[in-house]
Amino acid sequence: MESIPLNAYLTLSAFLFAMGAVGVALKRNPIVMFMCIELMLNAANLAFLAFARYQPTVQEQVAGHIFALFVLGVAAAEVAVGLGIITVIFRLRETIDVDEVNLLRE
Amino acid sequence: MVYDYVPIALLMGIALVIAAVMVGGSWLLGPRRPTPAKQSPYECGMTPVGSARERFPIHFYLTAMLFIIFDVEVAFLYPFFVVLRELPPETRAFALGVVGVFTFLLVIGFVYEWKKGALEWEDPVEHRRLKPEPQPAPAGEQP
Amino acid sequence: MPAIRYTHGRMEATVRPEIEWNALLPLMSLIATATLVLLVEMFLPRGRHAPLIVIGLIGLALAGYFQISLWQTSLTTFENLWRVDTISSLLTLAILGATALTLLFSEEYLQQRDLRYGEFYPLLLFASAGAVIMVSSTNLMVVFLGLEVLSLALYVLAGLARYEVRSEESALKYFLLGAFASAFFLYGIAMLYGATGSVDLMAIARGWGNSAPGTATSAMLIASVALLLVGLAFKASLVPFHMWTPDVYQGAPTIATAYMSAVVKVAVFGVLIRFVEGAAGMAGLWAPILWWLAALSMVVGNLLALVQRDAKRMLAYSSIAHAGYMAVGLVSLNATGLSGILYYLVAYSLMSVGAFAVLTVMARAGDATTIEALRGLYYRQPFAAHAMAVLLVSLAGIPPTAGFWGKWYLFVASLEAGQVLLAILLALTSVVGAAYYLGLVFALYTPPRETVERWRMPAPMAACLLACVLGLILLGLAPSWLTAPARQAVEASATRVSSGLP
Repeated sequence: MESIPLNAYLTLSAFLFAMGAVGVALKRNPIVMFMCIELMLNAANLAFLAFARYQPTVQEQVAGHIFALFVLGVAAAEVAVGLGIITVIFRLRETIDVDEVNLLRE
Repeated sequence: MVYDYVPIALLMGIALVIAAVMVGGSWLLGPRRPTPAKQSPYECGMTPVGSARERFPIHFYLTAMLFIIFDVEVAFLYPFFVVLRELPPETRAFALGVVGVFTFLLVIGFVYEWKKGALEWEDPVEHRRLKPEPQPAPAGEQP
Repeated sequence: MPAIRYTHGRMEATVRPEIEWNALLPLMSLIATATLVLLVEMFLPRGRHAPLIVIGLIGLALAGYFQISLWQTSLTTFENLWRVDTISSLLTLAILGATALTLLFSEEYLQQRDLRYGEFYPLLLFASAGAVIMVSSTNLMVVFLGLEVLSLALYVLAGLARYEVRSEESALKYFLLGAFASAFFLYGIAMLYGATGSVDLMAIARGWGNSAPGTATSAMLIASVALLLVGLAFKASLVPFHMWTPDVYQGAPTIATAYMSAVVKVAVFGVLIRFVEGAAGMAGLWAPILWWLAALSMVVGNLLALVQRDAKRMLAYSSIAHAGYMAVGLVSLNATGLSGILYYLVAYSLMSVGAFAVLTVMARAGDATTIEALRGLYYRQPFAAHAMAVLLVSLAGIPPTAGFWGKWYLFVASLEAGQVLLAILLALTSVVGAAYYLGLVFALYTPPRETVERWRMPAPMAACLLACVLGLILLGLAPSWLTAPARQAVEASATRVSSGLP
């Protein structure tokens, strides 16, 4: 059985990445922005795994797999820190809209 | 290669048909005696009234965060256990040492959050350690 | 990663990786120290931090000792995942030094601001471990993990003052834009992996040499280099990727700002040096982009610093300008430029940590850091004012301080590379920079309007400032003491890269 071509994965990955990047630029809710960033990380992960499938040697294949695993760990750590910061802001301000969070812009 | 997807399309079609038959059949054949309880979206469980933006205690977030970190870190152990049996003995000792260090660091993280009270539900960390302290003067104000 | 053999469709790890434990000792002692500090902090009563500082300083000294004993060694170990050479030794020592200096003056600030969070110390040490990891590898998987360890710790440090909206806002901004930049960096790595099957920076050169123009491989390499550059430019706060810097630097507690201004620059420019070495063959593509980043950073950073009324914000814009100066060295892409960056990074760490350290004394007066509030610092705390004067003179680049030599080497490098316009911009913007630095010096010595009380200077902070000032003067008087090994390191590294060795 033939497999799905690499281009299909890459197109999906690039689309997810672009969607995430545009989302971060346009959305004003930090949680949604953060979800968009996660989308970008997962797009990179998809690219890693797709590329890994087409590497000639096992050593090269495994490099992509390991990288994807590490990215998962990093994303989880980012969730913990990011949601922690957002929670603290919400308790201080009762709002997390980034347009209202702008004391620093004098 | 598009034909490779035919089974999936078939499966989807069958699923649709079965679902339609079941829902349509009960709608056609079943008796209808509505009562207020039956009219509500969920016959058992929570009443879906009030604001959708309900507030949850902060502990849910804390617990969820701690869960997600440990959850993902445990995922690092799977590749290790998959290959452990196939390793030659001298490499196995080394691999065990590596995983030992990893687990040790995880345990330190666990001890840390335990000691800091992040796992206690009744006397949560927020109340014990973060009593409203004297507020420092806001920074950067014009004198 | 153990060596893996492909047999009958299953992986078999048969060989243990060859590990030079000596090469890993500095990092291991740093992480052990951070973990120990974390454990000790749990059992200390709240607000008692002296043992943490002592343990931290001992651990940093130990790591520094191990790193110095690796001086002049050049090797890769752990299946090429870890690289030790003079570049990494120099930058690691700069990171360890900046961390030690930050440890010295932090406690006073934490006490004055009533921020009794012992978590500060382990976070600082873990962040340093991340920075050390970044400068000690050319493998982007390792670099990425180091970058995340550094960044995650810094997001928390920026939001340390958790009852203060400004601090939390800066943490949120830093977090969102930092994670955004990381995603670009990561996607760049994915593209590199797709093009070459490797995630090592040195694979860029190989891949570019082997790929014909117009093929998918070369297209992916170009995308990879562009994305990596965007990610790193964000972290190095080069214009136009700088918008987070002033807000974050101003809102974060001053001790966190001092640390991040120095250590992030060292770590990111360490990676950038390896990056331009690996991608030297593609310089025709990225050099014009970096040229603009450097020019814009110098112009925008300096001009906006000129109009700031807050010293912290002013130093933030000036840090953008300094990133621009260092980017000039990257564009020049010659031994003078790259070794000039190494020199500049060491000097800038001392200047920046010292300058922000002086600003922490303002925590006694409500932590206002406006230039107005700093007026007459000499009459409150003469030593701090004198130290600040030296640091600012060095930041302005006036001889005989180290700041002058740093700019001089980069200036010469850009002339050597034929980048005359960039050299002229560097000189002109430095003059603009001198204006606001010297304006601040002037304010420090202006008599205050009302009579002020004298402040006591805690001994550790005095030691920190003295170390910064003496270091800058020494480096200014004998620059070759640092530039000679830096140049040697850069040349050795260039030879290694061009001959295709790991």
